[in-house]
Amino acid sequence: MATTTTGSLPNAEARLGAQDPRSAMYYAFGRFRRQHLAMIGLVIVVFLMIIGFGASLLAPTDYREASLMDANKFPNSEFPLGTDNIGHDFLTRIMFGTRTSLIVGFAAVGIACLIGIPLGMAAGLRGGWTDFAVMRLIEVMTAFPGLLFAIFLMTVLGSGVGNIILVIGLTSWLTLARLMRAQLLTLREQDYVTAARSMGATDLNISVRHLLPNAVAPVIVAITLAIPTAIFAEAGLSFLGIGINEPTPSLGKMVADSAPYIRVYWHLGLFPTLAIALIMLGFSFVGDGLRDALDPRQN
Amino acid sequence: MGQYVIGRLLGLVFVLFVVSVIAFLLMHAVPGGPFAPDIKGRLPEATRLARMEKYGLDQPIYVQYGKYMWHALHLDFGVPFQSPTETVTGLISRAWPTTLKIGIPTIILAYTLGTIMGFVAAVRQNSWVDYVVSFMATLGLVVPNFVVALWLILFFSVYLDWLEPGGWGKPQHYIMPVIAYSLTPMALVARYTRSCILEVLRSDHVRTARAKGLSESRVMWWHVSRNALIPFVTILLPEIPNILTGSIFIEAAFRIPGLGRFFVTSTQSRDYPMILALVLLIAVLWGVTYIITDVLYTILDPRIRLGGGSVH
Amino acid sequence: MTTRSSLNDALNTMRPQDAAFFHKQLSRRDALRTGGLAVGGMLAGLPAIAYASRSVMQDGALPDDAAPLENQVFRGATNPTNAKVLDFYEQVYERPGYADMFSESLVRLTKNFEIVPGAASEWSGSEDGKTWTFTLKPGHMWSDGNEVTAADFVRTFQYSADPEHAWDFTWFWAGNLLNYAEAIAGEVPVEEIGVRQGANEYEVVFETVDPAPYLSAKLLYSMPLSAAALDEYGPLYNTNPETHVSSGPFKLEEWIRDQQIVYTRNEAYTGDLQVPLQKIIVKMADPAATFTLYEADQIDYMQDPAPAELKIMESSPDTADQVYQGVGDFACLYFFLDTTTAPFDKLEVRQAFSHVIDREAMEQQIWGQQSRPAPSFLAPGFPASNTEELAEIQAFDPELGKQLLADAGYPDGEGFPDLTLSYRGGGTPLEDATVQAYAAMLNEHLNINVEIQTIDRNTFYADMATYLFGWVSYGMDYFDPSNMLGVWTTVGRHSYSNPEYDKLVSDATTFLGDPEERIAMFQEAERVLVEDVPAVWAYHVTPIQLIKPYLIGPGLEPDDNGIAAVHWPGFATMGSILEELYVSADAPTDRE
Repeated sequence: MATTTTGSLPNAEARLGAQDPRSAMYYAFGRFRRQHLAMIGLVIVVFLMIIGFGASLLAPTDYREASLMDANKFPNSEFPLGTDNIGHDFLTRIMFGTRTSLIVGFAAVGIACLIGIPLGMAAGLRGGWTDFAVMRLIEVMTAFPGLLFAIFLMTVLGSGVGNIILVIGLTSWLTLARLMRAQLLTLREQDYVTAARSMGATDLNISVRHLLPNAVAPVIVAITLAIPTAIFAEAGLSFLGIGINEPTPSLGKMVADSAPYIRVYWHLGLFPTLAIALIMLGFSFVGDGLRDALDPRQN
Repeated sequence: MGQYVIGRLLGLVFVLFVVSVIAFLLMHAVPGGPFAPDIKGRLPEATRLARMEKYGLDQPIYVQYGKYMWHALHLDFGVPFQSPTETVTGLISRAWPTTLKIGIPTIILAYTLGTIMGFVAAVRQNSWVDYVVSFMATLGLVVPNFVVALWLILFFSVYLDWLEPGGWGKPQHYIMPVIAYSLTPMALVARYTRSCILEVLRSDHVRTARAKGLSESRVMWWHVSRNALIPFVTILLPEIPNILTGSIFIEAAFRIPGLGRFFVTSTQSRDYPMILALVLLIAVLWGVTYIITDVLYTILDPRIRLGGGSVH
Repeated sequence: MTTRSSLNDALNTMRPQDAAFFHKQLSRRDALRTGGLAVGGMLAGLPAIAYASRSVMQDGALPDDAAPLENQVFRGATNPTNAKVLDFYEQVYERPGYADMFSESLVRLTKNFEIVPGAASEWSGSEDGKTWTFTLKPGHMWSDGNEVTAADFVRTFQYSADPEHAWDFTWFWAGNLLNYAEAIAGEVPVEEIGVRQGANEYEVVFETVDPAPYLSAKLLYSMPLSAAALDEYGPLYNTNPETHVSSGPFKLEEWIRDQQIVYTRNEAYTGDLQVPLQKIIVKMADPAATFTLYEADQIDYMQDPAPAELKIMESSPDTADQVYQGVGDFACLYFFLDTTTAPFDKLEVRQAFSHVIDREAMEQQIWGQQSRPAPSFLAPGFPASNTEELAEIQAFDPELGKQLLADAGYPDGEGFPDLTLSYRGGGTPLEDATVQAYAAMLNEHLNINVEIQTIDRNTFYADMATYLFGWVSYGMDYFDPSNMLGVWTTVGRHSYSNPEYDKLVSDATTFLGDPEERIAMFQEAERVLVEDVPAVWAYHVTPIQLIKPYLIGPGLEPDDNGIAAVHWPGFATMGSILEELYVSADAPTDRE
């Protein structure tokens, strides 16, 4: 999406054939720091990761522990976020749920990146038959309603964390691939690409050193949006009963399960929704900040 | 250009074929059958076999597929197992227009409001307007639509008694579903519009135009819009077929007799004719969307050449 | 409305042998026949006469407090999933709620669960209990002008056995009616099944494989299709008002797919049901969306509200009166264990599992009014139910459970494999909560890890016999212990196989002697079952119904056991509620 014209001095480093990763990163981080929203986002994300991945150390109880006689309690001194309908401490469930959601989000999007980015780049850069094949593959994959495909796979594979990650990853790479391809369709026309080719650089070389850094900005925004989208996809599948297995908590499942109770026990729906909102906010602010920071024309 | 489009359309036909094969294989990989589950768990083996035979499922897969495709080519998509008194085409022509009647106002609302929001936020970056819009956009993406639906129903139906809680047939039945359904795409549109416009505002095109002395408004409207539309087209155009195929959550919450629920119920009830028809429908929608997307790329950015190599 | 405690009192004080089905009928007819005559086939003497004056309408006139005919409209809601047909004998599990209005079974069920005459005025059985003759009331007409005759019944049963039809309820008659099991397998033509016309066109004769004292109870489900309509339009004739034929009090006015079904009174009705309601509107709604319809006064009746929804109704004195608690189909929800596979092949392990389920806590925190603890399989109110006597066998005793597990070789859960609980998808919130709570209890008391895997419904029932540890329910199909207890026989649906139990059940099922003795035989069988722990019983469903205050009638008064609710089978011709419910004069008038 960066529409640099040939007249400017974008990648001075690229032209000189030298890369100084540290100094570029240093500048990028500096730019990042100056964005208030981005820093807030970073704080949120770090906080989430701490309470998520540190849940086994920080949470008041184990997530399996449930005292049925304490069920359906609103927040009080003993249970800071109340209890759910089985008697689990809700704060514990939220923390472990955050962990599960983060794992699902990261892993699924990780799989999506591993598949989608290389495919999109290859299609955009090479054009011709590569492009044709990849685009047809994308079309065929998109032709399936993601929900249908997910239900198929989950019914065959069975529910559970691993399968959910696989299924969501397999249905999320399409956007990234298309975005990557669209980026490269413009960027490959750049003069410096022509220059690099005339100097004998391979496609892989061009991709990684020159195009990827320039193409990456909107892709990063897409990735940061993809993480909560993956978490939401898991919520939808949980809503249909083919998501994460209990007793493993997941924020999406908690929101879905709160539906029969939400008119009285509003806390069962509010807190997981807030947790998801926090994850979303955190990642999107960070994403915006990263995009602005990594934009090479910001010098 | 014309040649290109025709080529793509032919490619689409090929895609449809591949999609139908994959769908067929996937469906038959899932255990179970198109009949209501044997809840009592006591069905005799003889009847189990008879049920499979009744739906033609005892025959080898390639025979089933062959029969299906033969009929499909004659535009006969069979009878949905879920609703044996109509045909698949009948059911879709009954249910889809209802979904479209919700989907189209949703798109109009989401895309116009969303674009305005994103535009305003980008142009006033880092001001309170920007923060508010960003926040609302995030909210729209985060709250599950069944929660929004429930709140809307509680508020407007149960407490205020202004609207009926759901149903179909009167103009008021559009209001709440469209609001609930449009929040997420609106947020998406706002976010992407904002980030794209920000991107372009900083770009060299605009600097050059400013340097040339063009006034602010002309700069914005002319260059910014055209270039901002590229990622818009990439991400947001495909959102349209997404919306047009309906949402099971919205349609269930508001009791709208649309097509959305069939995507889920067809899989759960192993309604093979229906699943195949839905899959083909979506393939056509998406395929056409992609063709439009790629054509729009060339219009918007003349430097993009389609189908060519990387160096020329 | 029955409060929680009065329901308990009612069910606990009723002895199984008080079940009207056996007791009242036997004392009348028994004196008139020699030899061991089967109980179930007895002509209902006095109860039938009493039954004849049960309707609210006297000589066709509405009671004084009833709304005028234009406002005798009833609105309910049902799930549109699997709503394909409206006839039991077309497909049982592909009907929406409020089906079976178009013809009448040979017998009917009163709200005290008594079998009384329906389309048949009398019936009797042979000495060996294997031939049963039902006599139809003449002059009962279909709406197309034909008379309801034995030919309709015979044709309907034959159609149900046709392999090409693949009826989903064939197990109901297979092994019971002569040649039925062979017919569904295509081995004999359907004309040879044990259902035929008798001496004239008003006599239907049933021939069974074994003595069948319970046959009239099963024939609650004998709503015939019209032979003429089957010939002319095919079996789906009732899905379309144009081809629709009814001999019941209602006809199909319209069916807008996925939106609503409307029934109006059948002007051609010549049966003897006196039904006050003139119109029934059934709105299609997802269960989660139904309560808001009720709150917004869009429907007059609903069943099974979600926990929070019930709480809302209970919390206000205005609405608490609209909550009714019934017994439903005496469903038992339970965790089943595969007794043929380790670790559940050891009795101690199964017993341990049965001692760590704290039903009291579950009742208080999860079930509320909607279910009651089940220490055994047969629910109170169902014949041969014996919950009090059997309560100690699977009682909550975590210390004992721990001890037993240690005895079995798994002290403190050490070495016990991690379990996967196979949970069928689409469960109610009560089921979700109960299953999760039990998993937590297993973890807490026995230190066993359980993961709950949700399995799609379709797949679940097909594979159920192969699951090691799962959760499922069973509700009655007909009012006889052989129905429920038959689930656990070797040919039932679980992997459990106990020859002693099989014998006890089959002996009791075919027993033609004293009905009290028969009950005792079934109770012995159930004791063996509960002691063997092929399942840990969780709860019996006591379904909640929400009924607007302007729906009144004797149908909502407490029955002989003090329970006030719309009883099984609900709004259909073979139940009693259609005659015993009407709209009161103070109902809102714009309800359509």
